[in-house]
Amino acid sequence: MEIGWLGALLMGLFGALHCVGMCGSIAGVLTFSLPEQIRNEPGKLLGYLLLYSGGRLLSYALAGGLAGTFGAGVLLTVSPQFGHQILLLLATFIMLAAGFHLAGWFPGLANLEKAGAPVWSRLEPLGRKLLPVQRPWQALLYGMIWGWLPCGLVYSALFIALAQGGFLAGMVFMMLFGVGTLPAILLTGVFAHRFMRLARNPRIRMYAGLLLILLALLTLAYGWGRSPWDSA
Amino acid sequence: MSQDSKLLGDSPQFTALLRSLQVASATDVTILLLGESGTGKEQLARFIHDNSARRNGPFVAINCAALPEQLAESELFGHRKGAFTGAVADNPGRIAAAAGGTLFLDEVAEMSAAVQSKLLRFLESGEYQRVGDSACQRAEVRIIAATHADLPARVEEGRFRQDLYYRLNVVPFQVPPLRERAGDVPLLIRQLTRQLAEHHQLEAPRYTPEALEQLERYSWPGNIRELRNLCERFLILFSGKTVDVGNLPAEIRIPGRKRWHVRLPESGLRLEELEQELLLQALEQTGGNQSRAARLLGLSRYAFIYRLKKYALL
Ligand SMILES: Nc1ncnc2c1ncn2[C@@H]1O[C@H](COP(=O)(O)OP(=O)(O)O)[C@@H](O)[C@H]1O
Ligand SMILES: [Mg+2]
Repeated sequence: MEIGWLGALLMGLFGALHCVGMCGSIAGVLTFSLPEQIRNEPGKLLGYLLLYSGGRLLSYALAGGLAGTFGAGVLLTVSPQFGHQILLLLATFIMLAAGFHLAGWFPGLANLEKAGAPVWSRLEPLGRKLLPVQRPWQALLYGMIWGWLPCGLVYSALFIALAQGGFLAGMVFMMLFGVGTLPAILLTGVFAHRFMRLARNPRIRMYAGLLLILLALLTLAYGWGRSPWDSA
Repeated sequence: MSQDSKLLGDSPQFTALLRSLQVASATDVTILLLGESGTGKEQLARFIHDNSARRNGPFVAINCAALPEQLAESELFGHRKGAFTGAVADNPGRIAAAAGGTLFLDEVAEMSAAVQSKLLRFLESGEYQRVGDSACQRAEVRIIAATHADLPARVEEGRFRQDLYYRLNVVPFQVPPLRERAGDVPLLIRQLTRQLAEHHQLEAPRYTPEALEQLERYSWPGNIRELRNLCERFLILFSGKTVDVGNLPAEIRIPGRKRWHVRLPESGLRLEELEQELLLQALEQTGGNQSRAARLLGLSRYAFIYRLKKYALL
């Protein structure tokens, strides 16, 4: 599944462009609500930003592991023979949707976010208690909560994680996806005003969307013949 | 929050914004709300305040576009009795009024240069001086600013201080225009109509599916403010009846038709003077060519000349 992993990384990298509208502002808030003595020291600041995102990645990894386990379980019971292909088709479809969404041709994907709203409305009040963050553990914990923020892109990635074949593979997939989001989120946290203009540029978003579409098709072509269980 | 001020909207674009503003409300970070007028920036500023730890403190809004330049400074920073003619009493100013709470600077792009530099000093040091007073005042306020203007362009034109821009633009939030909020138009029509009907004690009108479809397709340059006004108009004109496509205003019924953005001055104007002015401007633009001038105004040459004669302009 190496191409799948590359896909996860790129999906995070380009998909995050679409998220900076909301997540960029949140990253900005989390950055600028840190005490001044932390913000004035670049090394410390970077540490806190990495803790926020590290927490976020931990949540992604957990969700990815669960999705991978669930996908594998369903697959083995429903159709050990074709299950892999079914999930792969589903994953391709979702990734295509994400690509079209990013390019601005399919606004419907954002409706996925409604599914996560109840979870977030439970977690938000807990997160609020950690703000403004003063200590490293608070940053990590807040990041873990942030990971559950309803986001169409994360949900798309989770659908693909379903097809990864098990807990570990699903976890790695979502971790890599999270790593892919790091540049955009870290940059917006610090340079919110400048970076957001770039990310809102429709042409850049269109190219990023086209890239995801291409990637989805590549993943399908590459993954069709191989089941993640063959080698096991 | 009262029923009347509840923020309406269920589109992913809007709920995502509310979620991120909720996170912002748990902190004291300076917020800049960017968006067309009527998108609800003031309402959202209140939302931040009402969700913050300052909710029991004051929420003070000041519209920087609505105040004449000399007044803006003393409104915002206050003045001492006798600082200028008309200053008959001490005025603590809006910043002092917002102490311990939130200060909302609406239409911040319209601030004069003098007020900009004074505000910058306050943001940097937390200190300011009242007009006509040399003593330094301190106030602890959370700032939320809003504008519909292109601030970076204003900075480039030299009309807005760059340093102040950076101070305010710490965490910008883009408020989506109504036309980008998928599915919110019918929902807002329904809920605003219900609220307004209750308020006016009138039976709500119904909308035909065709009318709703046309309303959904409209671009809403005035955003929620425009939508709300229209709902109110229909409530009063069509209470208990049905609104069909034919009842919609022309700019909504006929796609592509532009709505006029002329503002009637508060002092009023004379329609006939305006008409004469437009007739003359049309002639000027076309170098005196009456046929082309008539076309510019959507008139036949005959009707155009008739009007020129009526005002003795010919
Ligand atoms: N989400 C919303 N739900 C209901 N009414 C709204 C909403 N947003 C704005 N309004 C209404 O629209 C009008 C314009 O809102 P305002 O906050 O003054 O916009 P802006 O400051 O962006 O010009 C007000 O009457 C306000 O009550
Ligand atoms: Mg306003």
